Amino acid sequence: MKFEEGVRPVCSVSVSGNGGRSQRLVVESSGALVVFEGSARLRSWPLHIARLRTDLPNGEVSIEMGGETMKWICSDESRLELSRAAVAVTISGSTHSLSEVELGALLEDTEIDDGDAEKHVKQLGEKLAQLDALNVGGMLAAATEGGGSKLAARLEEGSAFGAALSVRVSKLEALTRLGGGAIQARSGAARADTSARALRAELAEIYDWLDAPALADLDSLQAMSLGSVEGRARALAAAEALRSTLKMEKSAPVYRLRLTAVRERLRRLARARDQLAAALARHLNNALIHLANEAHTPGLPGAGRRHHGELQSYAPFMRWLRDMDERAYDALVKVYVGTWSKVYEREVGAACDAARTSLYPDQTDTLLSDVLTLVETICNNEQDFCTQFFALDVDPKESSDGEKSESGGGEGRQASDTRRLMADLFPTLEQQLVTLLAHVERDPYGAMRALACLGRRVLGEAAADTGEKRWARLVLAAAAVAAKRGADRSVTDRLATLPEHVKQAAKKPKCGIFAFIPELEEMSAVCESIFAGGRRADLDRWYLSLCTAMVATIGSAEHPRTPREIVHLENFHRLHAAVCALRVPALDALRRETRRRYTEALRRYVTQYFGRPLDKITQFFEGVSEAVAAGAREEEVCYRAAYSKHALRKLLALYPAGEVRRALHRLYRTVEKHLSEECGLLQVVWRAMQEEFMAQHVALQSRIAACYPGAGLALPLTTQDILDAFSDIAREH
Amino acid sequence: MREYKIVVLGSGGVGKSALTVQFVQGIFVEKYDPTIEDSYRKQVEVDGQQCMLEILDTAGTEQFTAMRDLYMKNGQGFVLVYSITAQSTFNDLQDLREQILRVKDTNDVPMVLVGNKCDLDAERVVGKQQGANLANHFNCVFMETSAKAKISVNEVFYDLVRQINKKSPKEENKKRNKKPICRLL
Repeated sequence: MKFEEGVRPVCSVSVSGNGGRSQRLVVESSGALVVFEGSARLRSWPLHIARLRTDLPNGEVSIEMGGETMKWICSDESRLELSRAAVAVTISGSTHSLSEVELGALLEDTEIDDGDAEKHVKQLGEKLAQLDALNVGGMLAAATEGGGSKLAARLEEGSAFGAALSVRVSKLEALTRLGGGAIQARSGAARADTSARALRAELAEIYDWLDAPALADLDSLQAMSLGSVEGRARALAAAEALRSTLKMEKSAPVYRLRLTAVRERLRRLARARDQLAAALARHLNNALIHLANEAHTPGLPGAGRRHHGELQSYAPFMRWLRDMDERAYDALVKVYVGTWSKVYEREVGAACDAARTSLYPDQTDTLLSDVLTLVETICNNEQDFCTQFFALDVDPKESSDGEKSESGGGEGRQASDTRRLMADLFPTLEQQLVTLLAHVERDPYGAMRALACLGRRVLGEAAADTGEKRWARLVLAAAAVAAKRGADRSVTDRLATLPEHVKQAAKKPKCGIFAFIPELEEMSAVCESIFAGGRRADLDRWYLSLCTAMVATIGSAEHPRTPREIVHLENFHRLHAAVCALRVPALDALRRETRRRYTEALRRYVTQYFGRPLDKITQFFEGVSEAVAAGAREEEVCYRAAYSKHALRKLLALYPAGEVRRALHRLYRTVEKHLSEECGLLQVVWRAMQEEFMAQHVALQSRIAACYPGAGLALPLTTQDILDAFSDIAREH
Repeated sequence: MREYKIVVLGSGGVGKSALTVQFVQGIFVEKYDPTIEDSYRKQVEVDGQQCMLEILDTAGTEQFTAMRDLYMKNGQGFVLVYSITAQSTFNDLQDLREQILRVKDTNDVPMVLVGNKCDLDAERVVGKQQGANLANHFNCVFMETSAKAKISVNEVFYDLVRQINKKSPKEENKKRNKKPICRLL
């Protein structure tokens, strides 16, 4: 290989040329790239004009000048060596001693007039900027290779270097102003300057990134006291700086991460993060256990909520841990949940026990309300605290990736995280409430009271204001369903006892009123006030099912001593009154039904038991009616032997007035025996009897008047006599 | 007698209870009182066959949604109700249907899509075609009803009974009925 005088090879690498020819590429101190084959110098390019590319795929190296490109293939190390050497020779000051050859090449490359000079400078500048950008990576690699953590020193070196170059550039600028032919010299110096500036900027960025002032405390992190306000503030600042620094690793350019010094520094920071996370976890764990012990100490009521205040100052650290060390975060959540779930279970349990022991029917609502208020307060406070303290309102994915998760997805996830945590914190709450409800239900109307209370809380107007995402509302809703089922069950139980009431009535001498009707009256009296504030629909539904079943039960009831008609008469009468008193539109049909069946029972009873006190006379006139119907004229019937005046007179003699009165007395006693005292229907029935008798009497009288006019025949009692007789009897008894 | 477990679902205030009570008791309940949970039994004759319908009327209000999974697990047929006067109640049904299919783990679940309150045509915001399209999408039957004016109320339940019959003919039911079931205790 021959070199021009004073020129030495800076680097020499073997390459494979066109057609696999073995060649060598040599970078010379003059700033030229030369290709040799054997010892033959084939061609050379001035590197500040030609474009050397070492970043091509497949290990290719290319040089490009004046629209012509040549390529070789070589190893990666050789490429790196070439690129470094090329950078070194182009900044190493040889630029202002351009050889004739190179100058010629440059001028040949672009024919320029004076007018194009500026444009040409611009083109050259662009070309150089490209080259510089390419080469900065290599320069940095060279500059920091083997360097440990002495970034600052290097930065200073770089800056000094840059400053020296600037001086040189300004000198050169002065020189170039003297001769138009010195454009190349100027551009060479400018290129060197740009490179240095790029280097300096790069170093400054790395420095800003990895050595922020807040990271200065790293070494003293261990010694920081998290117990003090000031210590926490410092630790938090360091923690936040660590987080943002380490987060940027993901978005850092690859070439930066290849730098050993950068890698080293990142490792150190990660270690610091782990240490800080461990220290935080330890401290928070101790704080949690300490507060838990305090809360478990008997005689400290309300301790259940003091811990919120004490832990509040650690919330930013929990947030940090959630982001930086999920395992430590999860472990702390577990400790917290483990502790406070027990505290709350005990607290709610105590409240339920207290309510249980002082439970009187008229206080059910108040006591239950108190327990529910306590539960809601505890749950809401806890939900607020946990959302904040455990950073449940922050989507961890969002904060670490820096990009928003799909709309709604994050919110749904947060809601389900919160639900899960709350469910873990209060695993027995629902069961505790259900157990309390079961106790309340022992009172005959307990289930109703519980339903009214829970219904008001879960569905009432006040409930609408408490926000949609309250976990407590879900628990209360579940308890409300339990209460509703309890209340339905109590009604089902009532329905099941109806046949039992009929059986019990059979043991009594008189049937009387089945006990389920007064029970319904009592139930309505109690429930109307229980449900005055709402859930009317439930109450109406129960009335309907109870009353419907009662109608059916009465309809099919039998009593060994009381006639069926009386059973119906008395019970439908009372049930009808009860249904009327309820004033429920849904019961309108039932109200009419009970009324109808009562009236019918009364009619049937009167017909059957009143019978026909003047039976023979009645039979006589039935015959008369048949004869008339067959065509006989009314006034001529008396001429028939069977219906003669004489025959009638004989019949009438069978019923003297006294005898009729005695018969009525007997009838009254029978009715009295059938009817129960509690019903007070005796007068009603007696009046119906009187009306029936009067009707018969009037019919007979008009027949006598029509068929036997002027015969002086009359029924044993006058209308007035009958009325007197009935009222006398009623008065006597 | 074969039993049919029917669950009535939908947002709050669409008229689930009004529809159910109209069908079971023939009464229109004017006053709105949010349901917590009600169950009814009613014997009907469908296609000459006596059927015992066990109808579960559910809460539509949001805080009760946690109970739905259980309702869906136990139900055989579902009435999905919206109100033609409230768009949101219509939109809510998509999620509800998906939940049913998820719980039942099948795409073939007896179901009727019901647009209630069709007597309030002046206040209509959900078009009949919209309902029909959704039913088409759900691959289920669609009816517009009025619990107040007694329009198509019985048809909803009868259709559901037919769907259940079609999906699981009697054999299966007989097998189940061999076990004596104690209900009251």
